[in-house]
Amino acid sequence: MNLPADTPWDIVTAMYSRIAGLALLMTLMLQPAPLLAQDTREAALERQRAEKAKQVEPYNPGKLERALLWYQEVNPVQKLAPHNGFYLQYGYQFKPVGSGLGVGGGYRHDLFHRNARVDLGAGITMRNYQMLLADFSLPHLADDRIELGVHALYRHNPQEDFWGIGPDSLNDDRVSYRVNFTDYAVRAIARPVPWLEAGTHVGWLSGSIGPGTDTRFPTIEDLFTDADAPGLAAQPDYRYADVYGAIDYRDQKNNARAGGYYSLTWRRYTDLDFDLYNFREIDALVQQFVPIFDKKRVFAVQARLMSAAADDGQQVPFYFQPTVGGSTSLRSYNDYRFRDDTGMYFNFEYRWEAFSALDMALFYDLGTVVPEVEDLRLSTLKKGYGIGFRFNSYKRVLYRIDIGFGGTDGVRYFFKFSKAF
Amino acid sequence: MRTRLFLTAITATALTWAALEPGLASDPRFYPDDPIVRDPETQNASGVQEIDISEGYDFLENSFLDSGDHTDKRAVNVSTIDEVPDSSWFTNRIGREPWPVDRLVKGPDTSAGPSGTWTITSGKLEGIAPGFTMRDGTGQLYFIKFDPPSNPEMASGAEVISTKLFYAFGYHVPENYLATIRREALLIGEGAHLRDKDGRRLMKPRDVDALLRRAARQADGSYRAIASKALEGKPAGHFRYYGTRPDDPNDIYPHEHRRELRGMAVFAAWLNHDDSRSINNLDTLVPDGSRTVIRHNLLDFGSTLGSGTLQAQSPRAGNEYLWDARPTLITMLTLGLYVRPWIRVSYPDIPAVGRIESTHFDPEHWKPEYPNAAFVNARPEDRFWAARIVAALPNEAIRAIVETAKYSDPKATEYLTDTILTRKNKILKTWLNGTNPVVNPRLSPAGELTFENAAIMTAVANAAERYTIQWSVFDNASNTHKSVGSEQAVTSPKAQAPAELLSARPEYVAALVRAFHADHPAWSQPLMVYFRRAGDGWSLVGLERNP
Repeated sequence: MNLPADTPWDIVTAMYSRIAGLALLMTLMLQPAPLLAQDTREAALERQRAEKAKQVEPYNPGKLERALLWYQEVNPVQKLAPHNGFYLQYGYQFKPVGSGLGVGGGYRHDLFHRNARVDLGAGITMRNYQMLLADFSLPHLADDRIELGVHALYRHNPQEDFWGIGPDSLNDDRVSYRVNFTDYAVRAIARPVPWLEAGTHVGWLSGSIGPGTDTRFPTIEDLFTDADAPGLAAQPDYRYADVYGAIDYRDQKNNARAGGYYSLTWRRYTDLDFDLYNFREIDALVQQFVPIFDKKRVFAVQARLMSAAADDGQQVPFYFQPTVGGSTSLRSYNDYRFRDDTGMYFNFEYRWEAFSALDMALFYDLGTVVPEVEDLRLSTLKKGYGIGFRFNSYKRVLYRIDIGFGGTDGVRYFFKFSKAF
Repeated sequence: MRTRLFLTAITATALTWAALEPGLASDPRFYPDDPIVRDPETQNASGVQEIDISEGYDFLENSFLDSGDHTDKRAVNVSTIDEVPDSSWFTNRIGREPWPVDRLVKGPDTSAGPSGTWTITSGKLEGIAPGFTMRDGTGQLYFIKFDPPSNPEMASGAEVISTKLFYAFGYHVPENYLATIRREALLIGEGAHLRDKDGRRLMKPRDVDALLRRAARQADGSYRAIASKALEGKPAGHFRYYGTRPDDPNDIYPHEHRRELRGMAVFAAWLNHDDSRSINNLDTLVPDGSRTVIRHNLLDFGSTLGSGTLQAQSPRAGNEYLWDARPTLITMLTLGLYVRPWIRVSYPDIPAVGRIESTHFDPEHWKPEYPNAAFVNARPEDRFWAARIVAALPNEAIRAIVETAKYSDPKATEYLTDTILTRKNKILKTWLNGTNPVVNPRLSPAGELTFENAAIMTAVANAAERYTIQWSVFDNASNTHKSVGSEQAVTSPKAQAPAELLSARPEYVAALVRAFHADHPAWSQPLMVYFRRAGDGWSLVGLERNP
């Protein structure tokens, strides 16, 4: 349809056309890409990089990464427990099995150009087990083949368990007792070759027995007398001496997958006060590890015989008697469950690697206690069996969960920061 | 008038929208300078800060948190002919042209190694591998590492061999020299410090003794070591195998989609480089003309081949991740009765070699220590690219490179050479047949298309049953094809373009090529090749495997 020239409509449409053209021109000037833009690949890439250059910012790690970076850089575990200086650590030397979670610390240092070493330490657990130690040693004599040392050691163990003596002790007779030891000893240890060690200790030991502090159970005096717990009424000081030898060709001491460990210890205690508790004891231990499939499967066996023999007319105090039961001997029973002058146990484990940080195990334990070695009978051994989970590195077991069945005291669960054997 | 108004408005609007909408008035498929041979890093990266990597976090992130983008897509940094341009990440070496054996044997080395007196500047007694840094008589800084006493020559041999091979592939690596030193030749520099379990302190002579006690000692009392020359430039931390560095303006391609990082899965499998993770690379700031750019280096090859650095390689290495749920659960639930197949593999007792074999080796199922985002993303064409580079290494050169490890036991040299060659063959058989193996297409002025078959060239396959070619005219501006003629089938690697295609004198032609072989179904994956008119002839401008 044709409209007359120069009408308002003509003027409006003409203006609109000019505006549209101007808008187009402005748009093109403001948006040079892509029509006017790069005509080479190199130019296109440069534009991308120039765009990125406007937005660069430092790398900002997240919280977890920052924490792990801090741990890697600072290494707090090593800072808390340096080789020389004040130290703090989980657990402590001479910490008894079953004493609960504990911490230790102190001061240690090399002396005389690392030819000597001093260690002043202490430890305490959640069950109030305590330890104080002062140790001085010459550990690197004869090119690291000989060690001499002396220590003063105090131990306070307030919740030791006792069920009575013999293999037929009753679970209901469980009591708690306290034992304190003060021990001064010298030692000489020889390691002529890496797999052989022999040594001797000579010392003076003072002990005292008292009521236990575990409120879950009666204290020892409530159920037992000196007649059925020899040494309960009075505790002498002792002079003791031992000699021992050990062959150790395990591939890793704390997470063995191959090799063996054999040790024999003979110890003599002399009652310095009452002449009632003179005795000697032997402790023979054999461990063997047989790997297959490149150590991904291990058959592990342990056998141990501990026997204390009192002099004629004398007795072995109950607190020095060998015990069987617990996470390293008979896992269908509590730690220290059975005690007598002689104890024996066997452990058989089939271990398999689930993945590099976890091994599992099926185990079968046998063990018992008797008054004398001649009384041992395989037919009277108590049994236990179960399954275990060991979180580990190549060199050590970091955490262990063992579940034991087959005992008369019910299922036993063990959660330990240590190996079974 | 109204019509004029309507047309003007519509046209103006459309043109405006076209200017604003990048997709419509789009970038052409090919630029005049395609295919590029160098990816230019044009921005100054001098402002970057050193990025530290937590090994624990790297393991957790890659094992459990699914790092990176795993969209199934083609590598984003390849050129239009599906090659990797030279860059701060990669330099085409044997992949571009053959190298003489002596050049391959020389590797990255620019000198004969450390010379003169060695003056220790710092030491490390703790950690994975004890060692020290030193300056030689010329003042050059080196990092010194030793072999473990249980496996003399193992780690140093692996480091020398793998360094030369990764250099030949195209990666930036340090110069690693074998060296022999005696205790009495080591001096402690003034101010030299040591990091041990007590932290950092001044180094003493007994520290050197303690360090050497953890090293393999040769019969004559000397020690064999790797002297790794300090990389040029200022350290800027480590790169991850996913994402980009936010502080590097030149880093525009996500690492998990870079061809040279994805393809590295093949090289790592071949050489059993299970430790191919972020802690074993290093970014360095280097001058590039008037700018400073980051160069991305690979280093620490002590855990390759049969070496696990401090002991023989674990049997698990290459076969399973550190954490692999399925085999772990099966092993747990079957009480260990299920034995992973790799546990049963036997290895020869050659301490200098460690643990590596070729019989059980399966390139398709090889794994590093824990998932690597770029390796996970590797597609058949990425692995094909890498396999071609492996194929370009002559066996004679591999033998000569293994000889540079200077094993004192000839059995070590012989076994390792045989193993590497057998693994090479498996790599080629798997990945050259893992996709369409057609390579080197050419179009003659007369329109004859010729090409080669990489699998046949390396004797890992016999002749194809047939090839099919579908020709088309390609419009570069609109990125569209117009088929010409019907699909051709040929039995030899050549075909004639249809006359009507050439007579139209298009600027671009394309051919979709497939290969067919009963034993290799992957050969039939499509390959699109593009040629651009160049005078009276044609030049290859585009190649897309699996478009």
